Amino acid sequence: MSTFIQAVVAGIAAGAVYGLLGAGFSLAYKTTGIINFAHGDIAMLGAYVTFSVFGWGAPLFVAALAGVVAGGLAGAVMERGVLRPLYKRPLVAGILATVGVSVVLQSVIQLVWGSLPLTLPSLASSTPWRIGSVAFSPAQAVLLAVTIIVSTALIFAVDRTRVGRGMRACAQDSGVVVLFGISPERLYLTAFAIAGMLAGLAGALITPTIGLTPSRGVSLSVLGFAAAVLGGLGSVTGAIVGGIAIAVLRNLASVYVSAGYADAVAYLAIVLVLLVRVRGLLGDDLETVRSV
Amino acid sequence: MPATGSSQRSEEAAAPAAAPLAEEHAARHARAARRGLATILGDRGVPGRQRPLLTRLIAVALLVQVVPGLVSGPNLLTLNLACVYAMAAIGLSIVFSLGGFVSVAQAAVMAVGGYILILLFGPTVGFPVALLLAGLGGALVSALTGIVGARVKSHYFILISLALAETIQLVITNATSVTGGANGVGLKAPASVLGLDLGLPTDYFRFITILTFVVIYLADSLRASRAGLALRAQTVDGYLALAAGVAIGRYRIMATAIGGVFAGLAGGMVAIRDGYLGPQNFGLDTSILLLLMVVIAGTGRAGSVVVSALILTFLSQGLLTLTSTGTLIYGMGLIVLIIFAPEGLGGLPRLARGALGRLGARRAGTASDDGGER
Repeated sequence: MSTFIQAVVAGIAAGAVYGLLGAGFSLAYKTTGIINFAHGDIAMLGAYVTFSVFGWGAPLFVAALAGVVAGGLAGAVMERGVLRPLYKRPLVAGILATVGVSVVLQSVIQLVWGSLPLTLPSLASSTPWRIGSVAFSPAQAVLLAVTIIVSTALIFAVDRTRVGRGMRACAQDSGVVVLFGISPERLYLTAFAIAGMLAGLAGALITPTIGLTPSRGVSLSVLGFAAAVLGGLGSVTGAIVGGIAIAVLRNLASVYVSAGYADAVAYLAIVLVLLVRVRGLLGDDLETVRSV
Repeated sequence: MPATGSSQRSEEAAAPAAAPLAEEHAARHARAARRGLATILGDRGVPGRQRPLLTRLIAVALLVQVVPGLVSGPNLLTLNLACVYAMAAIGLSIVFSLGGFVSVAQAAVMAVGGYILILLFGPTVGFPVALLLAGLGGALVSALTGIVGARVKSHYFILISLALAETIQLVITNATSVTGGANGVGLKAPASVLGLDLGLPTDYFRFITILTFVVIYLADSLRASRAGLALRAQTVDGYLALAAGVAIGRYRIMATAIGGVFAGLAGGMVAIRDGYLGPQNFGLDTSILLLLMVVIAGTGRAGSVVVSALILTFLSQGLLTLTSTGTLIYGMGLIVLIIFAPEGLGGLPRLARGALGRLGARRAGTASDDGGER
């Protein structure tokens, strides 16, 4: 029983970060329809920038902020430089271009930081508190707290602000929002910038546990996709819940089935959700009627 | 369309003055219809242009005779790999431009074919049988994605195929007792067929060239067939095709199965080429490379897929094996190609002609802006 609770508790903390990844992916997908294969690589870029700024003597908190800014910049540059010319073309073109961006980011990281694995200290101590037989570390508490704060702010922004309303409107019909004085192109930029910032944050938060390697981005992308799809594409709350669900299931699978097959849970979740309930756990009806 | 065309023709007989106008009208319609197809199939995606079989046979005979004498060493090995990739990419182009699925699972389907061949082929099961079974296995796995994919919208299919591809990769890495895990598994016996010793790169080239041409012929025949017509109709407008009585679900699953056969065969040929298989042969990067071959070929035609497979295989072998600078150039090149060559390599001549036409028009001082249309 205690192993079970331990797996769940550890899963909740790790899942919060997958949720952040998923939320960013979901936001950009919802606004533009593009599946961003470079999302995990932007997260790794954020993590590496955090590593460097921390290495120059800045406090870890400031370094993580630098990582967030770097992620946001990468997202914005990708939107402006690569995706902007492709909006009038079939979606495949945009999606493949993000694959190109992923390749570029990976090799840039390799050129700047080398391909050897690096480590980053976590924001708080990882000596666990013990409650009964269950361990929970301050580092995990910080992960969870940051996720809750950021996602609350994001949900507020999407639900209440003009930009957020514009994004939701744009998801429904990018042709009509123009009539209301909203520029879809500016919204696309905002969406990718925010998605990049969320990815950078997730990268800075998760790398103390998984370490820094240039090729890690792809698996982060996949985890983000899985979180977003399970929670319901387009829903921020859904992405966080989906991320936590995937992490908990992964932990349980690696405890009770086999560590090698832990990731299969994420893949299975993607397929099952898309087959049985396209809107995911918390998605809205929009996704089920959207015609692409 | 044919109805209005014939009525225009009868008017033409009655009033000769209106004839040029009506003709121009019809021509514009035809052009527009073709361009509608062109957005998906590329410029030459219009049916009815098959190269005659005899020309193809002569081409194969020439290639088989001449090339092994001209190319040797590592270049020949890369050429062989390019042929393997071309087969898989032709399969993917059926899945993509006829089925309408964007799949990143093609390398995983190759893996299934490859492992089937390498595990079965031995003293008891002959090479042709093992290769056929590899194709069959590829068809089954690929059809599975089709069955799932026919129920979801196109962009979800990418995620589904990603999940399938990564699951297959996980199984290969973890089922160590069967697949040898990350260490891979070796070929049990040397393969030979039609008197060709496939262990030799030259004989391998002869066999894979023949096989590639068979695949090209089959793919083009499929495109020209009734099933191909149904598939092309559903990529242009699925609802309209359904209304016209086309069972699009069944045809799309068929397209994934046929694409899978070619990938399975290609996977089997990878096993023969290397004499060894490991999970790293069939990663996501290979799937992406295959998808790029198809997209960069632009037109759905098998021949242009082969050309882009040749170019991309040599490029990627040259660049990706160098350093991270090479990878950087590769990634940048991808982005530039996708942005600036909307119709892929097949569209480049037209693009160049359009640019030249505009240049010439500007120089002549006329205000003609239809250079891109011709």
